[in-house]
Amino acid sequence: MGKSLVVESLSAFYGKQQILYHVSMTMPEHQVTTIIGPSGAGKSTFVRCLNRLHETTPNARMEGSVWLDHQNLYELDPIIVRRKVGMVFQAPNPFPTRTVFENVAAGLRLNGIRNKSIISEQVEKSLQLSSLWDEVKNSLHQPVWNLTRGQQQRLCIARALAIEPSVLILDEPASTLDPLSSLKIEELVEELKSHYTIVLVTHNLQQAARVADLTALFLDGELVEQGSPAELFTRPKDKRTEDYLTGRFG
Amino acid sequence: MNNMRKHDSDRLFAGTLFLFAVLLILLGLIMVSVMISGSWKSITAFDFSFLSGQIWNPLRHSYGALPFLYGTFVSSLIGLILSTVVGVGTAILLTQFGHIKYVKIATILLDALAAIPSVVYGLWGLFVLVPWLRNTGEPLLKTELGAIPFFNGQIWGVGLLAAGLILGIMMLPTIITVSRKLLDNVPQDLQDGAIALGATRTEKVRMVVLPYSRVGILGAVLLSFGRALGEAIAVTLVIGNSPTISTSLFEPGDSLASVLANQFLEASTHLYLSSLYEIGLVLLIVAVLFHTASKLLIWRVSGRARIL
Repeated sequence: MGKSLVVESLSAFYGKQQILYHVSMTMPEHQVTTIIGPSGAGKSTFVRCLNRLHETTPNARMEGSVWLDHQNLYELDPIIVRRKVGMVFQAPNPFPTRTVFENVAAGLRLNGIRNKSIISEQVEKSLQLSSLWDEVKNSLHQPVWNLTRGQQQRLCIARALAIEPSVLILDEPASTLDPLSSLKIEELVEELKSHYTIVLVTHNLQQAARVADLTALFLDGELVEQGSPAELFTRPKDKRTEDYLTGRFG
Repeated sequence: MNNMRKHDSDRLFAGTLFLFAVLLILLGLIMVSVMISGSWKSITAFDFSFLSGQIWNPLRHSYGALPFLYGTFVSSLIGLILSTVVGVGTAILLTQFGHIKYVKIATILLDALAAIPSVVYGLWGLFVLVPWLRNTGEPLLKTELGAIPFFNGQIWGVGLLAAGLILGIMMLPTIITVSRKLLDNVPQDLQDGAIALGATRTEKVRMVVLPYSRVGILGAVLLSFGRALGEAIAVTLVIGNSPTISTSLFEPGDSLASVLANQFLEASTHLYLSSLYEIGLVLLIVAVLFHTASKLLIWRVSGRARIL
């Protein structure tokens, strides 16, 4: 299922303002790549380029290429790209007018799947994967506002997983959650990497160190350094990495 | 001493404001009581048969308001359907598919439309819309949809359909403007959520944008409907001013507000005048009832959806 994602010389713009400068990196399959860096470093813009969400903002554009399994994502229909590259956002954003079940089923229905048993099967599987099933199996047809924020975020993960993407992007998924819910998401990321290529944006360095197989540091729109967390956190090659990690800026 | 004076000025100010508020309530009460006393003769003479009576003929002292109630509701309903479909559609186009430059131009034009006095709409209706309906629109409807009783009848040009179309056009700017604001307020992260699942823009509108804003749009639609019920001038120019109840939308009719505007000055007997007062009273009650009902509806729906 998971496939590695290769980014070549990616630059991104909002109007005349350049946000990202020639970023090249590889996010290997079945591994967790964490993206760290201060606010405004371009982390979110970077991941939004991976599922071609960046270009839906007025005046936004990008240069460079993103490859998934030897396919240039920018030569595909963006709708197809987003079904291969799933995304979970900073704040939980379940569809407020839909039930728990219908939230998870939304992507399947968009894919034209009408068979009820296939849909319920896939909904259950996705909720199992996001370890939410036991908590919601008796309230599948209840409105989503009865869930806690942590549950809502795991629901959004289930919603993204239901259409079986190859890559799962999580953009600071725990930043608006309490510590316990945050830890649950982290555990979930560990479990999911056997199935998916995972890209996790976080500003929590401990979290990045714990779950990552590969870590990349972004500063002012540039990829400063990447490597295994052990390397990057203990023996940074770049002076700026060291400054950031020791809290001299950011 | 200084403190004391400040305190006194506060009381004076609050007292004055209170007086204004009381005056406003009094004014409402006076208005209602004048309407009731003015229509008393008619109320005692006809009882509830005033509302169910189908004949309005002042020469024979026959006063039944049903044709006006019918005309009011049918013309407003036509306007409602037309303006909702076109208005919400336009708002979706402007917010979801529009280019920023054109959206700005469209907004300026729409604001200008809202500022046009209703008599101008009425005149345009009379000189442009009605001839078009008589020569092109209604004959076409009759040949295509003549099997439906609404579109089968003698063609006049003026009539319920003309009034409904004018009302629809007049309701459009409000519905577009309010819907556009509501659609603009749909949180971006919800929309991104739908797009990230691989939704097209159309699918996103159906999945997220419309469900999120439907209660507010319902409110805008009901508000416009309330105003259409009371519109007098534009309606009176194109509805045909005939107190009849007909299934065909091509036939002339009349509305509560329109008959008031038309006949008040020529009411020659006390009973005639009193009956017109009662028409006014009915219009007032219908408007208040409708306003309250729509508020209740919005309140209930929004309570259920926890939105807005």
